[in-house]
Amino acid sequence: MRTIRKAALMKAALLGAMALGLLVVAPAGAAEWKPSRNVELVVGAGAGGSIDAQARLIAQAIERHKLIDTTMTVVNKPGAGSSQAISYLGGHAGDGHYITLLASSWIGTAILMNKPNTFKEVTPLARLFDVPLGFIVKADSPLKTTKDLAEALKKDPGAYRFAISTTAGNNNHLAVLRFAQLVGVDPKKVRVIVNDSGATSLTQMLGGHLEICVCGIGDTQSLAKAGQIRYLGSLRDEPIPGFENIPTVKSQGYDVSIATFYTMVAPKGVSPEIVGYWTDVLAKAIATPEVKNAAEQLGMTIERVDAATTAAFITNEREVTSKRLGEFGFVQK
Amino acid sequence: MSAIHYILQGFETALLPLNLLYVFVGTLLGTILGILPGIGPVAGIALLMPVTYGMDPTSALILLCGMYYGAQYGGSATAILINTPGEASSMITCIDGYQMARKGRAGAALAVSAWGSFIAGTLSVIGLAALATALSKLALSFGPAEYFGLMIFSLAAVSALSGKSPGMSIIAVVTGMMIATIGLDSQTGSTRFTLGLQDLENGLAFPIIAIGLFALGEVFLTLEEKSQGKTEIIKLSGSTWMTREDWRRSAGPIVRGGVIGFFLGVLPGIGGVLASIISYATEVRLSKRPQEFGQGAIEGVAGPEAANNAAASGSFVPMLAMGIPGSVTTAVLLGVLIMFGIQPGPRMIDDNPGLFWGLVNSMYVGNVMLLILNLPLIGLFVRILYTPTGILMPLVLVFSVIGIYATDTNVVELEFLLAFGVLGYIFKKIEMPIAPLVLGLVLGDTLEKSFRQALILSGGDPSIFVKSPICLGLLLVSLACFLLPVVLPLLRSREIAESAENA
Repeated sequence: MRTIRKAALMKAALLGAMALGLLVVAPAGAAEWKPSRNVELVVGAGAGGSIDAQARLIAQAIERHKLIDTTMTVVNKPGAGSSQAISYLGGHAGDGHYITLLASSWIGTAILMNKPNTFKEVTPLARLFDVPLGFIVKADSPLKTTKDLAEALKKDPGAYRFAISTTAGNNNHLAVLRFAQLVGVDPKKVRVIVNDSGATSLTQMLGGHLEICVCGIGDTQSLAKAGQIRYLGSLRDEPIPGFENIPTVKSQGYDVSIATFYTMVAPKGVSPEIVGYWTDVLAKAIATPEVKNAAEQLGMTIERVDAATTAAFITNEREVTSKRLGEFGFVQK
Repeated sequence: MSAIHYILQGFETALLPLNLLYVFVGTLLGTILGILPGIGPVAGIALLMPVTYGMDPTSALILLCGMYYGAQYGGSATAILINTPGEASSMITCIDGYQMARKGRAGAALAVSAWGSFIAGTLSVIGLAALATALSKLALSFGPAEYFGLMIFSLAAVSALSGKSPGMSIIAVVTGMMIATIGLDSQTGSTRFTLGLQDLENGLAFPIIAIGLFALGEVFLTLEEKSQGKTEIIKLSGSTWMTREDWRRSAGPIVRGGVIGFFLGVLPGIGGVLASIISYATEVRLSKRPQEFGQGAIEGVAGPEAANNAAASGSFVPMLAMGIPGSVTTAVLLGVLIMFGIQPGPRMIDDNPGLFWGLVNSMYVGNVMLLILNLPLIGLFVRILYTPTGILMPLVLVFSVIGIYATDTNVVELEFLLAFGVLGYIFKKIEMPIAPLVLGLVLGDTLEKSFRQALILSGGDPSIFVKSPICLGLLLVSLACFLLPVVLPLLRSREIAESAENA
């Protein structure tokens, strides 16, 4: 008899431990809003890439400076240009415990998928970073300038292969296609593969599996300093502050200029209090020295665009992207 | 030099108070689950998966891996005390462990199993660190074509070796891969096989499938088998301290078992079972009194127990460094890894050194904890064996449902859970192995992506898969895997026949 009672006691302890764990994930109500449990900062790309690093930076700044009372974890939901992340967010409508840092590619993906509803799944909070991209080659590549690349592609459109992240039809992809078009090559003949993160593209390039990466300039600096990679050109209108030695692709005769921006969003249906709370916290977070320093080092521009302007910006970007995608025969099913 | 640096850094992660707590909870729950009748380590890990949502991936893996080797230890206890192996790899422990228990030396058998696991675990953590670092040097040579070869090899190795019939395994692998295609296509962003259901747009969440197949499947099966007879449970007897004589006889087998186990564990698909068989056969051969084997020889517990623990650590090499799980449990852990957005493969150690080394070192810490926890408390744990199924199974059911529902509060997911529970039951009923399905599910996406990327890079020319020597080699080894099952049973039956003869 006694043994059985003891076993039951053990069991109770075991169940207690499990139940305690489960309680943590149970939803809680919200009135005057501030987070009451762990906040998930969802990233629509794999761990190790540029956007993942930014998200972790913000989460760290928020935790270290105690900008929120609860904990914050970064959750990776890679795949399909943030669609996975947005879908995940969609499952938590109205819940301020979920925020997502989106790379600009989500707009193109939503258009490509013919899912205008995606734009209704999120509530824009703020546009935070602007990330300059470039055409990157291995240090021992025969290509020295964008012009060399153009000549090579003219001879054989399949000779130099590109890797982009994180989804087909995003700004990085459009930049490659637009470049091909300006060079006078059929964009369809250019070989472009899609990876979950820029880190994967770089490893593939360094391993000799492909020749050109369209990646962030800031987060590849250490590789450039180590003499492993070179920049053929940056994809901006103007030289990037701090990286003036990298010529723009535009200055080399091809008017390809794209912006990659990171936008923080909440799920649809969140209250104005939640939007207010997060815009406030985010403003404080990007003002912290660690975020400022990191941004400077990475050649990123810190932005602090409010929720309303961000929404208008997204609408505009949606129109422009839709037009470009149409040009390259991406739209529609 | 940098390896040492990383190992130390790994200890820093593993020894964080919070992670220590997770190791403790993991090994404790694992031991209990390993002992609980009917519910194995896989179902346990699956059940605990929803709790890890929102946790830091390193901590989550530390917790779940703690359960893995905790459950292995628990499984050895049941092998010794009721002649029922918790996992296939403690099958061999039954032979001499149960005999030792019948002769009143259960305590010593449990102690040698704990010490053997601990010493072998220590050896293999060193091996793991060395080998995984070496493998990660290959990272750059792995492009899409090579990844494709690796995935094919992984699926081939597990499907060819994990079931009774390769045909059944292939059906299971393909079923898993088919399930993996549900949801968004990462290359184009279009949705596939969602039947127009919004709930399927993200694909099926891994925990739904794992909990359904393993936990619910087990519940349904137990419902049916409830009326079957019970094995006699042997009361724990004898001191859990080993005598000097015990140590003298066990030291050699433990070290040899550790080395054999580690290297066999690295081979995908074979792992623990073969390691313990070979260790046992080796000890029989080397022993001065082979006639004692099968009658409760301590060497027959020490060697195989060290071997299967070392194999468990060894199987983390292919799992972490190449994304190839060697067992069902590691397949489930791999699923967890991917669920957290971490792509296993040669690049993982470079991309996530903190996670990798933190995890490896936590395994070592876990072994220490198991030793401290289990030697004095094993008598208490063993009482869990008396838990009636009539209480246990409904609890498993409750936790399965709560685990899934609490995450997304979506009733449709419970319907999917039930469907996979039924599928798991059917699989067990027709003896279709579940491991290949889980693997197909977990690796299907990477396989497809690498295949498509490789073809884009080659401009549609399939010869890219044979031009790369790594990919060609992997494809050839995959082919060989299907020839192995023909050879392996012959080998196995000979080993066992030999050891039986000698005993």
